[in-house]
Amino acid sequence: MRILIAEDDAETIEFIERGLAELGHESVPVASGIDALLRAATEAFDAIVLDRMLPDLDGLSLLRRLRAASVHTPVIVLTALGGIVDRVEGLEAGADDYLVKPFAFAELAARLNALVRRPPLSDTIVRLQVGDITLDLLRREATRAGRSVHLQPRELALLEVLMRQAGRIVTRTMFLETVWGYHFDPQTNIVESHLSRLRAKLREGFSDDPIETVRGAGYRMRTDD
Amino acid sequence: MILSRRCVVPDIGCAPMIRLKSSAAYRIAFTCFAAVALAMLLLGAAVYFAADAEFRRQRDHAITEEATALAREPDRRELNAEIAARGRPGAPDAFLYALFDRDGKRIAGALHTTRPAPGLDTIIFDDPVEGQDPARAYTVVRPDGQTLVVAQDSEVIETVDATILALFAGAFVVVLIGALIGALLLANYLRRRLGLIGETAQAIVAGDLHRRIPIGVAGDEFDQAGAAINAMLDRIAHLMDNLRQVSSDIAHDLRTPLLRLRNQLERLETDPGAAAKALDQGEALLALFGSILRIAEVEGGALAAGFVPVDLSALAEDVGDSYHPAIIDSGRSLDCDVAPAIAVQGNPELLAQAIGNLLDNARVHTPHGTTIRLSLAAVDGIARLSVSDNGPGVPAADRTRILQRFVRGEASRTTPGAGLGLSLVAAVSAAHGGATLVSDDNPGFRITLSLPMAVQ
Repeated sequence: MRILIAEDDAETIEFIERGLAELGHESVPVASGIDALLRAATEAFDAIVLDRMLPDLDGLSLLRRLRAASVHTPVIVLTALGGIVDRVEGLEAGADDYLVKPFAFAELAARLNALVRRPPLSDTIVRLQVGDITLDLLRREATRAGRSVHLQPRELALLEVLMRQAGRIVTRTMFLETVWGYHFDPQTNIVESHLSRLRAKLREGFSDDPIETVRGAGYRMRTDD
Repeated sequence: MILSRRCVVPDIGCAPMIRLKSSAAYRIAFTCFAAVALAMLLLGAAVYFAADAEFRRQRDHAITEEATALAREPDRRELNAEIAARGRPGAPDAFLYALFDRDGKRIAGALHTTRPAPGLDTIIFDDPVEGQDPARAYTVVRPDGQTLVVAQDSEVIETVDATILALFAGAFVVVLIGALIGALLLANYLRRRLGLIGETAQAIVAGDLHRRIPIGVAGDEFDQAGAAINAMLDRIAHLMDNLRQVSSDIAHDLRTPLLRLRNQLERLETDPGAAAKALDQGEALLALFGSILRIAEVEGGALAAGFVPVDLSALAEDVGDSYHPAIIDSGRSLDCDVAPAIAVQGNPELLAQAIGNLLDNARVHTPHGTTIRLSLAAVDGIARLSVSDNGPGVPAADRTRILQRFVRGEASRTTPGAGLGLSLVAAVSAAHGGATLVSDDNPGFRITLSLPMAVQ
């Protein structure tokens, strides 16, 4: 992947660049908003990591101008402001995701992956299949190897997120945001307890667990390859 | 520092000498005084000129009437007798008469003057006492050619005018003295009342933060303003106490995890597991900061603008469902008793976090086998959301403190947590115009949020 990093803090740039390089991605760092706007509008990137506060042009104005110029590259906004109002502003300006500093690199990597590899939004997808597991999105029914698995609504939602991101890591906060709509730490391990039930139901009668825990990062749905 | 800032507060009542020009109290008082004086002057002038004009009109009318009546007398002898009878000079306001023949020679009456032209006129006559004297005269020419003059000495009106002027001058002086005394009293009163406020402000600047403006029993404007300022001072003092409390709490409560983190980092080279522990401690610290910032944001009170109608019943059910498995896994059980269709105006995420924190609090601070109960009911337009348990409860001494930041019950010293969960609950409740009540559930513990319901 080729990722534009618009960020004026050298340490943050280094942190992101090193992490992306380890995953085999190319990063293009720019430290000013005007530069970021010029390059984002003229070159092709898979994603843009955009700091909300940049010298000369703030991140959200930049984002609005990009979107007004029909540049639809996925954008993750980074911010030191974690307030409720700030997040809404970021998403309204056209951000695809919003990450509050400080963050773990695994969190950024998982979100970039989810954004870049996001299948095109389509209403025609009514059925997901990963390995021997299928999920009927209309009937909200899951099966494994043809056998029906009875799941609660939350468990279905978790499974859907995992299947859409099959092979890629989904972090705990990504689950909280997409399945629950919570942008806070619920203290209680609600994600883990629901996931463990989902995993137990999927495993019943089988020897292997289709979902794996990635230490320090999150969860991943195993794919055949 | 404090001394140099003393001059920030202007001296209102404490300076030994007040320059009159710079004293608003005196300015106000003297403005009132000047207004009274001007009003007196205008009133005096108006009365004087009106009375003078009226007296002159009446006198002119009287001499005209007199002259016209006498002139109608057909008989000359009768006329002479009348003039002789009436014209007794002596009284100052008496009429003076003169009768002239066809040639202008005075033939009767005591008015020594030359014949004036017919009609009203001011003439000069020869007063036996005062010499040449002005008088007001009405002159009629009789049908037989004789000319009759009826006059009155101008001195009569001048005396009345002078009396009016003298009266007013006296009244003016008396009123001015009164107004001056009143103005000085008013100025002193204003200075004294404002001085109390100034003294209080100076005392606070000097460091006595608990000084308040004395409030009188009258409840006048000064008392009202003083009470408002006192309320503001109380609020500021509360916020400052809060801030001081938070700063010292943060300093105290963050030291322990930071020290632990530092120790883990020291052990990195020898202990292979130290890195993971250090990471966990870093995460915990970040979470702690997140909680502090979240509470600060909620308490800041800027969120109400973004409030939307929230189906609190559905929200409570949803949070209950979300926390249910984790509570079961921890060896406790959860009962939900949620009345349907209770709506409030608010922020759904904050409300969810508040309910979640209540459930989390109940789970962490109760023994295994405890039943936790989440209930929501509507009572008189108030949504009562409560989380209770049948655990050991909280000692009465801890119950009121437990909502404050970083405060943890004595019994929970050993359980994880920073003592911020319930502070956020209280802050969210307050931000939604609600109250938070901590009570004993006999046995167990109960927290109830009373939130105003949305108007349907």
